[in-house]
Amino acid sequence: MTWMRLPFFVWAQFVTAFLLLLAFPPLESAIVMQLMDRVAGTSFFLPSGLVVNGAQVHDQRRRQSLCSGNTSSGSSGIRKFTCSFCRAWALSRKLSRTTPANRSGVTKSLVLAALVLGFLSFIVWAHHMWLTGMGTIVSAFFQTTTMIISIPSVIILSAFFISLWGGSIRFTVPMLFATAFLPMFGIGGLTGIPLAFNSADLYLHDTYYVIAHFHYIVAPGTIFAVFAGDLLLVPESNRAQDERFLGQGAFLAVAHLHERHLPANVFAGHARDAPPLVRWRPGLDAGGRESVGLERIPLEFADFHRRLGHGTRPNPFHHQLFLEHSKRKKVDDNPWEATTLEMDRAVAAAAWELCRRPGCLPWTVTSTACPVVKGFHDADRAGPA
Amino acid sequence: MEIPYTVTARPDTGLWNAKVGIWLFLASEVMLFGGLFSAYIFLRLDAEPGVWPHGLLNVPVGTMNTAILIASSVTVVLAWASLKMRRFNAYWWYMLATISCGVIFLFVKLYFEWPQKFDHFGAYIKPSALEKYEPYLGNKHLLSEGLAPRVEITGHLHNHEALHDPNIKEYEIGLDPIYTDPTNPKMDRPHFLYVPPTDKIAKIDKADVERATMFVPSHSTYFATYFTITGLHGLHVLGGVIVFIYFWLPVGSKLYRQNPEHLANRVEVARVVLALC
Repeated sequence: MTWMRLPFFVWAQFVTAFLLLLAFPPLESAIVMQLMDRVAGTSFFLPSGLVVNGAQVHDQRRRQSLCSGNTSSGSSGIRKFTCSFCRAWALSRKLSRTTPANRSGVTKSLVLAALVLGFLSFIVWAHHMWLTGMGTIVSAFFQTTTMIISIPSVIILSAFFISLWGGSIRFTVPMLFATAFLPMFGIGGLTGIPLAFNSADLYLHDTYYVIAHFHYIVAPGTIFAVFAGDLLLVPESNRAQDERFLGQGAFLAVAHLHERHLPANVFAGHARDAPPLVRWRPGLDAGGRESVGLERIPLEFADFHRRLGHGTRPNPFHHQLFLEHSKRKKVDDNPWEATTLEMDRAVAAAAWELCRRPGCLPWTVTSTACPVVKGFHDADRAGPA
Repeated sequence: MEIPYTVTARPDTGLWNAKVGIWLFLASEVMLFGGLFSAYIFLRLDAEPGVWPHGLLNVPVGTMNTAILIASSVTVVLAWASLKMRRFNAYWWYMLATISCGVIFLFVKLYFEWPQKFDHFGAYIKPSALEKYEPYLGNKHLLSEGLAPRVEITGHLHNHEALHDPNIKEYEIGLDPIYTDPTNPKMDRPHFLYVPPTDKIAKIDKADVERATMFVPSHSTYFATYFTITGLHGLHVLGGVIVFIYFWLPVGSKLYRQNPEHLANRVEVARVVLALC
């Protein structure tokens, strides 16, 4: 085993671990300040306490208060996103390594990009706060770092594309989500560039454009990738093949996402005004607007399935995990016909046995120590058949 | 079940597990308090000249408390060293000293430092009424000196019920020294050391007051950060004291008889946290 043979999933977990370690505590301090705002009447975030530096409050000071408070929440926010991205990317990368052609040259770029991304994510946070009245120097710094962070992001996205290139792609359900993730994350990333610039963002702030950008980034960038990763693990965890029909139905969520947010990219100038004061009922979206209804399709699928008597979980994804095993097609040790180490149960078991020897740790398992691992290393080096 | 690597080093890290864990925990603590300190710094930088309070803390008492806490750091290191030398009796006494220091610290904080703040009162005067209270504020003098004006009158609140009773129309404040002699150049800068309120009473019309509270977290951003940070720190000290009491109780001696090095390591990681406090 070498560092670059380490699955990208492990690398991404490593970066995520550092982000968790160093990015969450400021979030914690933001929570403490928030708690003080709620309980003790302080004004770290809320101008409603109207206590800013002790004197009477006018607008400017109110803004300063928000600015100061946001400093910590904003900084943590973006790092938190990076945390979730990393994990999700890791999952989808795992997928792309498992299903189509594996190009090991990609791994190095991926790993370096992830490390750089993890570092940069600590110094871009103020790009959420252009309107808080920061100075031009600070603003220029954060615009620059935000531009820079798009480089590792694009490297990672490109690496995912390259790892698909030349492979015979089988559109299994996890693969559907993984491939949908790629262009949608691209849309999200490209719409983010105008927002990274102070001058453009001042006009785009609080419009549907921001909402659209955000949803293209967060929904496909994390949720789709997590779905892909989760579904990939269904046969592993359940020892039964996933339900293609159910999964494909759930995949219609992609249509919902486009229906909801693609137009918002166009209506860039429309301010996101206060939502109408309507009591929410089924059929309305979170803003109280009448929804077209496409988002109901995945849920209908789940309902359909429930009526078939397969379970009671309403969520099509997690439904998979709770389906009765007896009704599912059994799988062998390599359900996705993967050519790499990490998806093979026999290898995992062999490695685990080795781990249990005194003084031996998972990453010290070498190809010479275990014939199973050695065999897979050789197969891996030779590339897919 | 035997927990691995409590005493022996892990081959890859070269350290026993808790030691790695405690340094990672320290890193996260630095970020936690870093967030709070950066909030303080930003709020302080944003404060307009003159409005950030000074001289409201009791520096001698605070210094004493710092000394107590540092003393506890020393005694806990001695306790750890005693364990390493397998002198359990010395360990027991040093641990008792450490716990006592922690308890004294918390006692001073909760029964002296904080209540002294809660007992202090401040009223922010409306801009339109600043002229009326010029004898207390001395803003003309400050203006001639090129200094920022005073907008708050502080001291000991004599009619406490005025805070809640709308029928009482004015606050009776036993003034802080700075407001009894506002044009004295010695008062231009706030006192570094704490000076108690005087007997001189000022009556301040509630109608002239923008906002008036005791020195609680909602009094000002200054006290908000003060109470938040010292409060969170106090919780850390409390946690440390509880852990040390646990090690000091018979649980500790039982572990000592089984595996003295394990107890020493436990004390070591716990003390790293308390040393941070």
